[in-house]
Amino acid sequence: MGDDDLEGLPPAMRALLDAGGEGPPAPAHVKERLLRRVETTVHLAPNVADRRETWGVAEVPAPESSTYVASAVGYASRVRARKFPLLAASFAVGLMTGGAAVYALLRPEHRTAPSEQLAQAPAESSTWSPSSGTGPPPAAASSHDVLAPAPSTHIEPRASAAPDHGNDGSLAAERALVETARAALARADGPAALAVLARHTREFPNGTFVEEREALAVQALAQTGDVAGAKARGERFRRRYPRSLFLPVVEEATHGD
Amino acid sequence: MGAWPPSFRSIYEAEFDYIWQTLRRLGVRPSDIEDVAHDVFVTVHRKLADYDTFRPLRPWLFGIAFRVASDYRRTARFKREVFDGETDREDVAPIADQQLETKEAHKLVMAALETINLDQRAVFILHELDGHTIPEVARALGEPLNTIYSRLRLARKAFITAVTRMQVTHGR
Repeated sequence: MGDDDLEGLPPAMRALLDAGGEGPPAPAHVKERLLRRVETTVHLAPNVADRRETWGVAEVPAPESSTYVASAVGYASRVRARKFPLLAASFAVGLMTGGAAVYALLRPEHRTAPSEQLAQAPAESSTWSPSSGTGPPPAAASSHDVLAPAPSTHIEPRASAAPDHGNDGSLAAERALVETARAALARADGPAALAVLARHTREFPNGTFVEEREALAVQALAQTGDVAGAKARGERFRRRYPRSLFLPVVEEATHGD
Repeated sequence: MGAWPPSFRSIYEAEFDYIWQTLRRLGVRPSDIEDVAHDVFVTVHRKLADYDTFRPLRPWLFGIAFRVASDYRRTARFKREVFDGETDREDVAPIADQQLETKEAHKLVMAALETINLDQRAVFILHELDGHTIPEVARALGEPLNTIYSRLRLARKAFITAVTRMQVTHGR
């Protein structure tokens, strides 16, 4: 069977496709913004292909709501194996791109105790309701409750739901925070990671990397020995991001060996 | 595109608009295209080493975009909100008759595409809009040739039916 054997499109339909097949292009600023987002993601997850096997093109699985999960799985495994130097090296690329913002965050005066950082977060976390985005903060929240998102049954839009990303500078700053937290986690410095994540919550309550932040927070809580906190936050993560690519990481962090 | 094999950045620069158009044609809602495109390009970045440079680039990109879009369309969010009437932002600037006709034609094409089963639509887009041969389409989608021919036949029929109905409905 060949295309010649098929009944082709009538000329009028062909003309319609020729006239209307192309829509308007995306705005140039969207193209630039998206490139930065993609670069941020791939820098944060340099080894994602490690876990995935050799797909043919037809077998390339689609990433879900968030993208660098597979790498995070490998990451978690490596953390558990205590191969921190390797991790630190892999994250160095991202850290370097964070530039001055990262440096500032790594200064000792920013190593505030996590409980102190977390205690400052309720005002921002009140905007996390997935239905309205403006719900009140949870009453009587524990330290890890403060940062926890409300349950969600759908994939959260990222850039489109990030009103605090009005410019490229804020995206770079947000990226620097997430990279810093990840680097702290790689150093097995859970308290520092939590402190940076708390800062991210204050400054970017609805940022592009909320999902990544929450996955890191679960790992950081587990790393600091707060098993109950990690489990509770992990459960909220699962409800909020039921299709997240980070779920294996969260599961591993909350269930341990 | 310059150097070969292409770098990720060169692919992004050259094919961003193609991916954007493809995702629209595959039914990704306007407000979600950027997020879905993000996942497409992350996948492209990660799979670039597997790209066979002896084959055309766009079918390979389409294969990735198709799978990401398929996954997106299975999400509860898409299913819940797909019929909320969201449309592209209207351009408020005055437009010439020719532009108006093009815009109307585009809306008609997009509406007709939306009536076609996604698997069939992918074949239709690759062949009828992107101009790829059936073997290229088959390779991009990982399906046997006969399956592609069958889908193309069904897609053409569905497209013609949809356009005809909409033209009747709107008195065109």
